[in-house]
Amino acid sequence: MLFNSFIFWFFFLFVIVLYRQLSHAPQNRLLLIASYVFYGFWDYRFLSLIFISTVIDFYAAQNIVAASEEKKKKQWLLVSIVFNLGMLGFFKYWNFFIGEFSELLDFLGFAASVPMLDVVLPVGISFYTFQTMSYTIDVFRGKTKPTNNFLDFALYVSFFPQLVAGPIERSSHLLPQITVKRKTNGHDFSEGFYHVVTGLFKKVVIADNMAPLVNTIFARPINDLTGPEIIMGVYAFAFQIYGDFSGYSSIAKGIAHWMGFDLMWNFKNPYFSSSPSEFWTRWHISLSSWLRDYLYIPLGGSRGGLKKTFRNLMATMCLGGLWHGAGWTYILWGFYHGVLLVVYHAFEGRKSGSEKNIGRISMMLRTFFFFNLVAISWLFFRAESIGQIGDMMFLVVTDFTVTKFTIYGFAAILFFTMPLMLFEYWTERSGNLLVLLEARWGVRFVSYSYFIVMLIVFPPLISQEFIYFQF
Amino acid sequence: MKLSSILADITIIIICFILLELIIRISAPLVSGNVRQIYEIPDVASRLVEQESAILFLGNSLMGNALDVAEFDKQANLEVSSFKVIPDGTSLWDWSCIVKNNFIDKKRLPRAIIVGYAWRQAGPVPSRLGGFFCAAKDLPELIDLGMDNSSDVLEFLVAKASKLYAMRETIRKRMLDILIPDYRIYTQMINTERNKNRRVVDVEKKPEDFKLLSAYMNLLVSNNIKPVIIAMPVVQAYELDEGFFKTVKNSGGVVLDYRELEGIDDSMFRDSIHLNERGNKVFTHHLASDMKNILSRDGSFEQGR
Repeated sequence: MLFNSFIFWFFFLFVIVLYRQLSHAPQNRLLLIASYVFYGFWDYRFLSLIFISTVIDFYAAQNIVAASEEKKKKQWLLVSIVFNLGMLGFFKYWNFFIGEFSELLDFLGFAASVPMLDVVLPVGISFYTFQTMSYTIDVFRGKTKPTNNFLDFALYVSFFPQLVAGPIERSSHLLPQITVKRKTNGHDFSEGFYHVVTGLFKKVVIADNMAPLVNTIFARPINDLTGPEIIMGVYAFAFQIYGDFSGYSSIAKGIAHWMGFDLMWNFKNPYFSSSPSEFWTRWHISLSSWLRDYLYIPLGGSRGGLKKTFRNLMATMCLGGLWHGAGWTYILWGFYHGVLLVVYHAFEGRKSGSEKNIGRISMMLRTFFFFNLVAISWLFFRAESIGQIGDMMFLVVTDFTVTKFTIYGFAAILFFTMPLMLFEYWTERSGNLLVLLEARWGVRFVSYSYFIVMLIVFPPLISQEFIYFQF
Repeated sequence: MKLSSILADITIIIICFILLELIIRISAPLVSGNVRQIYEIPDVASRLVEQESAILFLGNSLMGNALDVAEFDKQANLEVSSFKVIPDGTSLWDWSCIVKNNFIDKKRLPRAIIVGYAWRQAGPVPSRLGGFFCAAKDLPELIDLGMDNSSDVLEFLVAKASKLYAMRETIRKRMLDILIPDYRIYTQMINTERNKNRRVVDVEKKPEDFKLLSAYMNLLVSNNIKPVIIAMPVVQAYELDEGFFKTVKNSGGVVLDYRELEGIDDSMFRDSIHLNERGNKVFTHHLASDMKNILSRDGSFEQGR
């Protein structure tokens, strides 16, 4: 059930109408049932995984609190982590690691027959396992008080707006919103509507219109491409993945708002970042903050001197890359971002506050330069293989033939993405991501007219699944 | 935020939508020649009823490029008037609704309806059916005939309610033609490459279902209209299922198999599927001759008015 499908909105209409008639506890039960129905639409077989994960983490957290000895607490925490990572490892990484292991054995001269499995990746597994793990870790750290209500916890794990592609919520933020009575007001409606409309726009108008360009470029044999065509394809993918993922997060935030929930911001104008550090405070915030709190800081963060900081940064980013998918291209993507962070910390990060103050033009140039560095990373992320990355990078620096297809592609990118970038520039300048809600009626009229026309008229003929479902 | 502000937001959104909808409804025939042609279908039906005896040609651009109606009338010399309704991209789903709502329900019955058919039966396009060709009362039958996906049904209903939604593809093409250089050429190229790379999906392997074809044939025959179906010529010959021929024959219709029509060669196509002027002449000549034979030997099919 996709957010950009009629069937979802029909389902949501039914849920919200019923939801409004109920008191707090029945509302939670309704949302739990709706969440399981929503997930069951994808693949009902994997509902059992969510249920088992819920049961294990619920009881692990209860036992962590109940245990008097530190050792016992750690054992229960280990149960939760081993189960969640084990499940993730089996479904997502088994074939990758076994395949690589097999190749290594072949390379060393041992012909081995290793068992490859026909495993289907359950939708959203990376998101809900990280969400439940953060719960038991926070309970262990004493940052979250565990809930005694199993059904409320089950809703925390499976809450349908963010179940399959995030944001990865923290228990300290989402759980209280489940256990305490919620109120909705007019502002929630307006803000929810804003998130839903802009989210659908990013997904349906931006991402889905970029997809055919990207797919064409990355499916063509390298001999049939030119350097500028590859650059066009990479830019198109930069906007496709941004529209796709931030669009999903935005719709999730919007529909949650209509039900009185406040999900975290997952994207804050990331392409206006002027440094790698800033980028990761604006892009997929729920994952980057998860990796910071549960991986980077436990590894030592920046506490052990430069060398250890760099090591921790590289390890965190490589694992962040691996989180996205079982493939060397994702690891390379993470490695590249790790290098950017290390280089930034080594040079820019040590400058004093006054040294960092630069003029507007310099800042714009820097933002544009950094956007291009990020765009390069999307080549690693989207490519089918390391070989394709090498071929494409070589062609970009050796072939400068501008074809008519290049012009067509760049014109399409400009037509679809430029208004969004101008809109985001406006929100950026005002320092208020919800500036449209406070704008004069004329501005709201023009903006909403534009969004509505684009949403009705400009969806491509073939709609695309959300990219992040595969993670 | 005050209640008045929320109401203002809702009002703004509703006004935006109504304004756009009104603009599109008023200017629809100006948007494209194809839409203008669709809007003229009731006029065609009115003119048809004024004739003593008439033949209706239905199809899409394949038929549009292949047939010269004036030349057909001259060569066939059947003392009937011929009319052509050929909206782009349409299929049997659309033609069934066109026939039902514009001709049969309004008792404007031609002597024969000739459709141009090719490849396997295409699936329904719900927004086109809802926006242009079918009535709301047709929905149960469409569902029964196979448009039973809930998304399709909702898309049909939305298109029924909003012309802006129903016409989105046309508006999109018109705007992008202006704004993006070589839009059609490269969009077509991308689609071709995508189809080439795509694996053959299971759906295409499924045996063809002729429920819709059978319903269409029965609709015509029960109203005393002779159904004729032409298997249209294209450059690369295609196969037709045995069930297709059986369904038409068992319902009392006629198939004119023009897939490899004598006198037509590759030079008579303007692209891989559409005939050019020379091809049009050959096609029209064959059709006039065949229709003369069919209608003269089938005296039992009097015009149903």
